[in-house]
Formats: sequence, structure tokens, C-alpha cells
Amino acid sequence: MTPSALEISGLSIASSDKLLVKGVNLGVKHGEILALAGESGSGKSMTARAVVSLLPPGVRRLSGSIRLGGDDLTVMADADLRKVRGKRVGMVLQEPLSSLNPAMRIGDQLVEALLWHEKLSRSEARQRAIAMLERVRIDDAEALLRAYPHEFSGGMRQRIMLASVFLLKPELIIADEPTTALDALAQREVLDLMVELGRDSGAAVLLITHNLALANRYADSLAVMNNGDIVESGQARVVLAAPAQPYTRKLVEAVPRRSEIAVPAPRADGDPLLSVRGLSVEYPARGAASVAAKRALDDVSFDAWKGEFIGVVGGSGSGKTTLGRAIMGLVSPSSGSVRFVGEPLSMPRSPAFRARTQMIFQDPYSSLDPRRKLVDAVADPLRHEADLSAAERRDRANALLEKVGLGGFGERLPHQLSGGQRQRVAIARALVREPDLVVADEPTSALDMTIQAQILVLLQTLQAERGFTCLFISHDLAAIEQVASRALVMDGGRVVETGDAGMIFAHPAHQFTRALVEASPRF
Amino acid sequence: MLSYLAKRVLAAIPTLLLVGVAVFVLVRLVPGDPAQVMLGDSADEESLAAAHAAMGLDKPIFTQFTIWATNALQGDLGASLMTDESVGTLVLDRFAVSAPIVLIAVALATIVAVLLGLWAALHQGKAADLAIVTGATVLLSIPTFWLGLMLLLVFGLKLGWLPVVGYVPFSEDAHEAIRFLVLPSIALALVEAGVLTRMMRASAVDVLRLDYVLHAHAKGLDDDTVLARHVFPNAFAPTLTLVGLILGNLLGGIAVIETVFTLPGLGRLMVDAVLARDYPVIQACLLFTASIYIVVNLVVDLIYPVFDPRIVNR
Repeated sequence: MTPSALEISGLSIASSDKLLVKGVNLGVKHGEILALAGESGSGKSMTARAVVSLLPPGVRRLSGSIRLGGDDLTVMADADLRKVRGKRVGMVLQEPLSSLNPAMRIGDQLVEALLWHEKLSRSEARQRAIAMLERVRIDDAEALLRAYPHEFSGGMRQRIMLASVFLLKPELIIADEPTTALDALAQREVLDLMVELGRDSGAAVLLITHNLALANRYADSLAVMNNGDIVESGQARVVLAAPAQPYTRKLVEAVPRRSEIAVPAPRADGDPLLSVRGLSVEYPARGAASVAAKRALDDVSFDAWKGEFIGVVGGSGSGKTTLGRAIMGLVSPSSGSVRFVGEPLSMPRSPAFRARTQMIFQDPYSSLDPRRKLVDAVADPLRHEADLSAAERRDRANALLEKVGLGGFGERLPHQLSGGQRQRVAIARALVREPDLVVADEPTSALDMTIQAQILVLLQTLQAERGFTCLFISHDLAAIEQVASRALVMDGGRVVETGDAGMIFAHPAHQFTRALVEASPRF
Repeated sequence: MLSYLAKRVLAAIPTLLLVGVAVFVLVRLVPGDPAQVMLGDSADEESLAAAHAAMGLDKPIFTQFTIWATNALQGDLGASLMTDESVGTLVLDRFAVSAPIVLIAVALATIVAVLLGLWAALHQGKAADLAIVTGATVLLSIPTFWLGLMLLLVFGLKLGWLPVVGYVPFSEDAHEAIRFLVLPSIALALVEAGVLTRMMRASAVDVLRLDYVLHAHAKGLDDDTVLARHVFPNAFAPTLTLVGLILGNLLGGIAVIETVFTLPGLGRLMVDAVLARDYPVIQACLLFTASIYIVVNLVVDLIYPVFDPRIVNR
């Protein structure tokens, strides 16, 4: 029997007023991947950060021991702990956009830890960095070393991060939601790479995730955390196939899956509500010549009928967000036309069009004004309805808040709500004026799995009830499959495949759709 | 990078033109007459008219502007109506007095602000933070002239370490010149350090929350290295913009400090010229101030990409 690489026993963590982690026991063996799953606030990230004693200010470890290859990290002096961090325990964080220093060249950041922990010359460190970058399949490593982080996509930055962490061949990798911010294809690329590098170096991997489908695909063992307790643990596949605890079952049920009953498509008769023809959007070249003009949307045509739920799916940079914005008139098309109930739309969009369309944005934390009460935020779109009194507007807003499950929340401010609750407010705000068309741009991707499932159901119910047409934009194939009757698959600014949602994902014709279906983790 | 520079320089030209026109017109809108100031209240109509003709003020305003603008473009800003000295030399001489004080003060203030701001941010909410924030607020609330007078009182009169009245140019006696610059520089630095410290602390607090700082710790770096390599460069960028604004502002004249410390600087020149309605001097001072402002902010814009490389592509 191999000894554990990491052995946590009786770990308790508390902030000044709350117990965050309650006597957790965990073990990860060499070469094994342990997924620590749970919702936001379950204590999974705190557990991970406690391993390297990097808890946020005001949060401290109350008791328990953390042994790494036999050394107890909890009794180590600061100076010794610094020799463990980076060298023996590598950390990969969630946000690839903020975990690299924007003011430092990638080369310097890559070799920083290497030079810190090992006696190497700069050129030796550079050589090792280049070899490692080639290992993570990055071409033109030399040029990359001189570049700054902002020049790369999230997936690329996360690969760079993996390279920098694995450069030191640590015994343990802590990956805290490493792919949550990435689309399905980039997610798969990064995690496959992590598994490969982990296996090759024999490192133990502690994978923190809220996505059980990922745990199912990548983890050897699984521990499910809720409210600071580990509620269930064991072999990943065994636990997920037959969850013993109600909480685990709830999480498993929240994973979107192919719906058994296909979402019924409304009859496409009469004139379409929305008609897009040859729509292209070009972003002009920026400043230096290094950023050439980019065709974000390339000759896109489709029709949407009243009451349709259309899913637009694609990776980051596929043009799906630009499509939504171009229809709403938030970006100017370079060519092509958009017709709404038969009328061609001009730029800027007419007030009449804007009165009948609404948008739901991805990040509920920044799409609500932090200083406005919920009822006022929701009542806002009604300000142009001259025949409504202020009281009537508030009544309508309150009624809709109740409809989205936030009855009595009207007087609260956004910061008093969770992410899921905020997204409900955003949905209420979009629907209060009874629009004909709603563009929802990644409305669930900033949320936990269980919350995502609730929001999807809410959106689907409201859509069926009110009969608006919904353009649901997402990188999450599973979510699209669950709610949409028809899907557009986008890649490189073009629509590469379109048709009945259930059909095209069951039998993808285009190779990009196939890659997307394959990359999407599921049960 | 070169096109970035060229764009910034070209953008400065219309600004300077506008300043030129505005200055010329506004100066003449102010009630008062330079001839009257020079000759006194008892002057009769004839001598006033003669003085006007000598000063070129009898011509229509448009002609006056054309003459002034043509000469200014050739580098000749005219002569003082009062002393007949060349305005260009006058402005540069006086600038040579104010500039060292301002440069020393701003450099000092920046260093203090960076150190205290980072320290306060690191100890957010603790006693050290509270003390620094309170101190900074007190400093930026104190009027400069009062602080200057107190420094004079303590170090000049009570302790007698430094001279109280007067000024010696660098060219005559460098050692003595420095002794005259110490107190005004410190007075100015203390006030500006207040604003800059608060700015530095605020942006450092924001940066400390970011993932790359956590990641730098997770690499095993010690606290000082994390601070120097990862926190400081990113937190300093907003402060640098403020340093540029302050520097431009102060180089244009520190009349209050110059008055308190009896220094013949640019600020005093401007105040005296305004009181005497000495049009060419006022015009030259304001034009010079505007140019300094533009140059300083250009330099800041050029340094900025070091701390935030994203800016070049925007």
C-alpha cells in the first residue's frame, strides 16, 4: 500500500463569527486525483488553502493536522512553509484572467518559482521553461516568454499556469476550480493536460470543483462537502453511480443531462419574429499592428419564430455573444440585416424595438446597480409606460419578483442576495415589460450547479407560460440541450450547424459540434 | 510604441493653441490698465495714451494677437511692460527657483506615499493602517501656508538650523542654495504625501485581493518579494497618474509656498504680473504652465506601460 501524499485529519477552520470547516478528514495518494466537490461556501476552497497556510485574513485553522509526505505542515515555521509552497505543493487557481500578474512578462512569471527554489542560472531556468511549454503543447514558446498575459485567452493562460506549476515537479497539485471560467473545449484541453502531467510526474492532485460531471470524468476518488462537513466520500464512480446521501443525490440531479422528452418545438408557421440575414460584425484593428481587424461574426443567417427557445452554443471567441449584441443593436454590424416582425431594424435601434426586447447578462454581480432596491431595478423598464402610475409599476415589479421566487424581497439591495437570487432579479427585470424577444447571454455560467439547474427550470417555465422567444447563449452544451428546442452551433464567427437541439447533439454532423459534444462532461 | 508617442505629441498642439487664444483674450477681459498701474492715479490722458502706444495697446485686439502669436511662434514672448526684461528669460529664471523645490517635494512625497500606502494596505484595519490613514488625512487638510509658517517657526527661528528669509541661486553657492530649499520642499512634500498615501493604500488594498498575489505566495515567495514584484507595480499605476497631475499643477506655480518662504519663483512672478496687468508676462507664464502640464503628463503616459503593459494596445 502506498502512503498518502496528503493526509488531512480533523481539520477545522473558522472566521471570526463562523465555523467554516468542521473536522474534515481527507487523504490523497501519489498519482491519484481526489475531487473535492461542493457548492460555493461549502468550505472546499478553505480546506485547500489551509494546506499551504494561505487562508484569507481573518480566517484561521482551529485544529487538525495536515501531513504532506510525513511532514506536518501545521507545525512548520513560516520560512519552512515557504519552501513547501511552489516546490512541493503547486497551486492552480480558478480565474486564469486574474491569476497571472498583468504587469510581468510571462517568461519572468514562469521561471520565478524555479529561480526562487532552485539554484539555477536564468538561462537554465529559461531552457526548462521552454521545454515545459512545449510539453503543454504551446508552439513558439520563445515568443510567448516575452509576451504579457493579456495577449492570451483564458484557456491558454491556464495552460501557462499548469506549465509554471509543474515546472517544479511538486508532490501535490491543488487545483481550485481550474476550468470553471473556461468553455467546454478549453476545459477539456486543460484538464486532460493536468491529468497527463500529474500521471507522468506521479503527483497527487486535489481537484476542487462544483461540477460533478467533471469529477465523474477525471477523479479517482471523490469527497462531497456541504457546510464544512464531508457528507460522502469514496471512489468517484461508485459514489456518483449510487449516491447514499440526500445531499449528494441533490448535486447529482442538478447536473444537466439529455432530456428524455425532447423540448417541443413550436410550429414554425407564418412570418418569423426575428429574421437575421448575412449578419457580419468586424472589430477594427487596435493600436499596434499586432492586433489585426477581427471578424467576430461572419455571414450569419437564421430565423426565429414566436415562442421558440433557441440555444446558441460555441466556445469562447466563437461570436455567440457578438451575435446577441448585434441583434440587440449593442454593436454595429458591418454588413447584413436584422428584421423584427418583418420590419428591417436600423442603428441605433428604435425605442419601439427596445420596448419589445430585453437582455439577461452573464454576471449577476455587475448587471445590477448596487444602490438600487430590487423593486426599483425591476420596475425600471416600465418607466416608459406613461399610463402606469409609480405605484402600479412597483406592484408589477413586486408581482414578478414573487413569480421568480423572491416574494417580499423588493426592498432589499443586490448585495444582500446570493448569485442565483440576483440572476432571478435579472430575469424578472427582463420580463417585466412582457417582451417578445429575450436574449440571455450565458445567464447560468457564473452559478453553482444546483443553482444553474434552478435558473434553467425557471427560465423554461416562464418562457412556456409567457410565450416569448428566447435566444439562449451558452458555452454549456448540457444546458442548451436541456432547455432549447433548436440550436445554432457557432465556431469562428460562423454558424456551423443548426437544427433540432436533441438531434444535432445526438448525431452531430459538423466536426466542431462533435468535438464540443465529446468535450462536454456528462454522466 | 512610436505611434503611441506621436499621437500624444500631436494631441498637445491644439491644446496649446487653445490655451494661447484663451489666455490672450481673458487677460484683456480683466478690468484694469497696465499704463494706469505704471503711471499711477495722477497720470493725465495724454501720458496714458503715450504709454498705450509704447506698449502697443492702442492697436485693435486682433492685430495685437497676430503680432504676439507671430512672435511667440518664433520663440519671442515679448518684454515685460513694467521692467522691459525679456519675458522668456524672466519666466525661465523664476522657473529655475520653483522647479527644484517641486521636484524634490514630489519625489519625497511619492517615496513616502508608496512605503506608507503599502504598509497600511498590508495591515488593513489594524492600528498601523488607522494611524497612517489618519495622519494622511490630517496632512492633506492642513493649509500649506500654515505648515510652512510652523516649519519656519520651529526650524528657522526656535532651533535656528535653517535660514528663514531669502534665497541664494545654485550658481552662486550650491550648499547655501540647498539650505534655503529644504523647508519649502518639506512643507510641500508633507501636504502632497497625504493625498498620494491615501491613493496608494486604496489601490494596494485592491491588488492584494487579486488571485495573482495569492498565487505568488503559493509559489513560495516571501512577503517582501511578493510586495515588490507583484503588488507594487500594479498598485502604483493609478498613483503615478496622480503624481503626474500634481507635478504638472505644482510646476505651474507654488505661489503660496513662495510667498511664505520669500522665494522669487514662478508663482510669485505670475501673481505680481496679474496685479500689474503686465500682459506679456501673464501670457507667457500661463502658456509656459500649460506646456509644462502637457509635457509632464506625456512623460507619465510614456512611463505608464511599464506598470500596465495593456495600455499600449488600447
